Amino acid sequence: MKSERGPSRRDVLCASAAGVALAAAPTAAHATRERPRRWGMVIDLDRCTACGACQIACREENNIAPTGPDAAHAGRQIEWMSIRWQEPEQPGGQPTAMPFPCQHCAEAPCVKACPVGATYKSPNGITMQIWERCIGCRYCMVACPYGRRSFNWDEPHWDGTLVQLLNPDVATRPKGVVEKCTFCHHRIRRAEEEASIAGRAVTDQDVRRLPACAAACPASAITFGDLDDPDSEVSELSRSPRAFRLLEHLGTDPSVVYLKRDRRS
Amino acid sequence: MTPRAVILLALAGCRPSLAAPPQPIPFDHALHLEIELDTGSLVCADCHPGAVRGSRAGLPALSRCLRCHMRPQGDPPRPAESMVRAAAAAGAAFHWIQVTRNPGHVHFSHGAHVTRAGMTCAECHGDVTRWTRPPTAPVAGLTDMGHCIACHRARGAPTDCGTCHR
Amino acid sequence: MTDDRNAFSRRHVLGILGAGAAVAGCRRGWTPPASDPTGRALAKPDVPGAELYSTGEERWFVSSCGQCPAACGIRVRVVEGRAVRIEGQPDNPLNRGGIGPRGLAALQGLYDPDRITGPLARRGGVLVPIGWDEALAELAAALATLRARGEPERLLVWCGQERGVARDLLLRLARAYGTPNFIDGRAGRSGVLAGAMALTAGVAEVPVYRWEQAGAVLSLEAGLVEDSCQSVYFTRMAAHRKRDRGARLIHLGPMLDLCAYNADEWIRVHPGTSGAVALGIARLLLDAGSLPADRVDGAGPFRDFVAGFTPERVAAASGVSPRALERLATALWDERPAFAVVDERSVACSNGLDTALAAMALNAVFGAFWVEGGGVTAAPAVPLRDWPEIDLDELARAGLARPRLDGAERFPGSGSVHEALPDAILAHPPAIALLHHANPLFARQQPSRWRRAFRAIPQVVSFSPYRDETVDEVADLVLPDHTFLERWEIAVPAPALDRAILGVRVPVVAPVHDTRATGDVVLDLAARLGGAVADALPWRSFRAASEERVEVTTDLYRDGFWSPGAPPAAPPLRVALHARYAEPTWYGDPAAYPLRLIAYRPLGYAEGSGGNLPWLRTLRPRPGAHPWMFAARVHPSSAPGHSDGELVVIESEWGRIRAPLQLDESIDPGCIAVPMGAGHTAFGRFAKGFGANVLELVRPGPAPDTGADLLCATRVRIAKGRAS
Repeated sequence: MKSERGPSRRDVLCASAAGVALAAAPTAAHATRERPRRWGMVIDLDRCTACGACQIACREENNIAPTGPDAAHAGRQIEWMSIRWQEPEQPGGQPTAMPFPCQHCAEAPCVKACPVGATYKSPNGITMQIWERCIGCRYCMVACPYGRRSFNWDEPHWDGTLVQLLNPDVATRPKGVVEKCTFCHHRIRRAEEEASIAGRAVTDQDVRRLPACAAACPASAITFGDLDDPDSEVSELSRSPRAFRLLEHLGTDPSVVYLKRDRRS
Repeated sequence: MTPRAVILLALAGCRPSLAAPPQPIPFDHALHLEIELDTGSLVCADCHPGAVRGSRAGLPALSRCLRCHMRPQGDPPRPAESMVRAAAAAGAAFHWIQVTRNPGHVHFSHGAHVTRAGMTCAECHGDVTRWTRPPTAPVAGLTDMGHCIACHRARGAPTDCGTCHR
Repeated sequence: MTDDRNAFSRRHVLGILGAGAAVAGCRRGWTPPASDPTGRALAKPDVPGAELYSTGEERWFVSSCGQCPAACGIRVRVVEGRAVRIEGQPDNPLNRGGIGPRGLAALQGLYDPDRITGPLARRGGVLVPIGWDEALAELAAALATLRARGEPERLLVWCGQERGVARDLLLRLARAYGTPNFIDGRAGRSGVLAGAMALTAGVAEVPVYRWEQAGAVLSLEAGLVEDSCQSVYFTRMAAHRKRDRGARLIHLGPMLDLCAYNADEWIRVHPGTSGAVALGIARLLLDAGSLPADRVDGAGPFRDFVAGFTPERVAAASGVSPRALERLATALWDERPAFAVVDERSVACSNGLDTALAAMALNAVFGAFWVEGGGVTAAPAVPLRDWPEIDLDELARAGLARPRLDGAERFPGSGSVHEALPDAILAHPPAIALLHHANPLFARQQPSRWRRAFRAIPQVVSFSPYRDETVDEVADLVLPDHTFLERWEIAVPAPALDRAILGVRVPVVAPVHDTRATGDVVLDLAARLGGAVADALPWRSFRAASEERVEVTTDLYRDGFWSPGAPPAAPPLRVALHARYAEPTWYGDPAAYPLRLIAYRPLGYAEGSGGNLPWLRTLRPRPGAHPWMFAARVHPSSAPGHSDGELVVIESEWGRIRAPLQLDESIDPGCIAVPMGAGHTAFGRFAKGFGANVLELVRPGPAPDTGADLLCATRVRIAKGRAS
């Protein structure tokens, strides 16, 4: 399934004059039946203990390729959600552990940079990445000020029986494709489908721990939900005096809100 | 053949002849849909459990067939019918060949189409009651993105990439 | 991705191009490649048990994680017979839906490509596959012969776990067989903790703490979120403490590990000296607090003893300034309920027992033993019934009367003395050794000693599912266990709650390989042995044996755990205070070896078997860490002339390793911290060749007073010259 997608993009580029994948930007989204949302995430840096469960859960859920020590030392480990250590603001202070997914900026620089429309903003606020359209130019990686995009430098493979743990809900990516956190978009879509099949709307309760990272976190440090819904937990948390967003001055308008770590004496 | 050769040939319009993929059992839909059980006749979801509310319709596990075919069924039983018990005795898995296949990066939800959009199985799969042999080719259009988009546009369903691609 | 597992389909459709999706008449359908026309290879690898699932069918199972002793409740998502996701069980009081990185990595353990696929026997120096019947017959014959010779005590049974029904079953086998040489995982530092509680409160159980209502907590070099056997629970408590309730955690420790990071305040102390700080605080608070005579024994001698722990003395021992000590004492007292917490990392030095006793004494001063919330109590008893008494035969009685190899009788309260074994084994080699959850040729101090010792044992049998160092180098017979996702078991979580809890593990997938649950194998062996041994283990399956011990089963199966709702009433503990403390001993000539080695268990290490889980290597488990990083952390002043990242040789009197240096301004000068769990020479492709094994540096031998392991008692130096 996941890497047997048929001809690679390279084959298409070489062989095709019919412009199979090099279409123009994606069609404007039709209005969905549900109210459009702005999916966002709040990460409480006080609650976070840097255990790394979010990182491993993300790798497990999204079939992130194992790249090994050499790639990691070259800075090429593929990471969607991971713990990064932020240097202290004052010398002599402590670093801060930050779970650091794609920030899903409303004004996403990567979307502006992509020449083929492989990355775009969904109507619900997620910066989507369509693997099949990516031509591997990596302009989006240059454009992203957070450095939260990873490139598949090699063909991913899972040795032997390891292939059995792949999540069937998420496609694997081939060599030459940029990938990044999707806010577990497949889980959101599944929740929406199941809710509409059952004849009800998706509630904040359904989604507050829906992405794999939020579900796994033992400290309940990661909350997910609709930032445009004033009653959602993420909205409430984002109104906290501790709330801040990364690199706001760049005008990216990220959808990930952090709550400052202030419990140190 | 390499994938590259595949696309080259396809674009060149030269297509090798296709033969039917041999299923483990030459399953006869028409026959099974005719049967009257105590509980009524079989419906699609009896063997394709996800067809109404799930994502994948699914192809039945051997245990599903054994619910009836633990003993010879049919009057007289067809020769192929004993293959079910033979497979069970051998402890073998049942590998149906999924004929209508989308690539791994495509997500199709039966539940969204059947329950949410109110479509019937026959709208896409045709009149299954006439199938005496397993299908040999995917349903026309079901593996073609243009077909999907056209229907979505016609019915006002979302055409956002993320709806179907994962 | 070519995959030969699907040869059946490929053979039939060979030569047919994209039979499925190359639609007649539709020119733009997706064509699966000829090499895998059904796309099964990567999407749906053939796995045992898949025949029970419809295509795409998923099921969820409730179980208990077995990746570390915590036994968090989990839910496992299984699609077509493959386990693809592990999540926390929301109702389980330990983890409440959370899950740790190591638990998540259980899938990599289940599907490890280097797992042992069936029984192995060493023939001509090489491990070759054999059948189960042959393997069991061989072992049963050897066991019977040994018994017939009248030497049952020459069976060594080593269970690396310290609790659980499998461990109990192995103990029962050892006793019925007649060997006193049963080694279990309690030996290590949890034995010291239990010993401290035994001396203090008369209950030989590790202490557990009631975090929810605490106001202030003092950590004496505890590992908690990083190193303990209940990391997920402590993570949950840490978050709760920080944001929900507000208890302040002050951590004493030599380096900025995760416990220090997650504390509200980190006070740097020299390693092994937090006990002195605790006694200094006790001295300051003795007048404010009270030690009621009806609850406390030995208050008088204790008072006289701590009078000597002036702030100046404490400062000299630990590096904590007198002002900081006084501020600390005041803060802890004002923010009561308060308690001092110790765990396995606290007692890693030679004065571990003293440190634990000091913590317990301070808890008495705080009154922590006698409060409902925010206090300390002994871990509750495990709610398992006992099996019937064993009817020992003459041979067993005689064998059990003989002295243990490890001399554990000398250390009351200690279950086993691991580090006394290598010399003892060389002196009196056992004839047969059974190893369950144990890899001494890697995870024990001075692996080379252990190698020599085990080579002296004619028949070494391992139940390991992985080809670890012990299997690779000395095992004569391997009877691979299922991983926890493939077997049925009653789980006994490591103590953390003040109320009893049991978990159940269920098989969520069909066994991936030809392995068998060790519990069942033990029962099979007992049946083959016959006689009194078979009578003592009469059950037809491990599951039946376990179910005999469980009182409540309905909730257990439905929820995956069973725990009574309300905690038991706090017993009116009567505690004894002990007037003892010694500075930690660091073995090695201080002039030649100036640095104190801190060998510690990093995040995800648990009992040491995480080396084959590459996901765990992708973490940044501490400030300044990178993925796949192995480094020795040292203060720049302790490594003059060396640069950050430089590969050096680190030596002790007993061994040497090579490691890159990480210069760290925050670590206590005079120390060098090296994580455990690296330096595998076997254990699969992901473990081999990564880092070095710090245990090669560690001084061999047990602690002289407790018999416990001494992880942090060795002096080392950075060798001159460059590492090649």
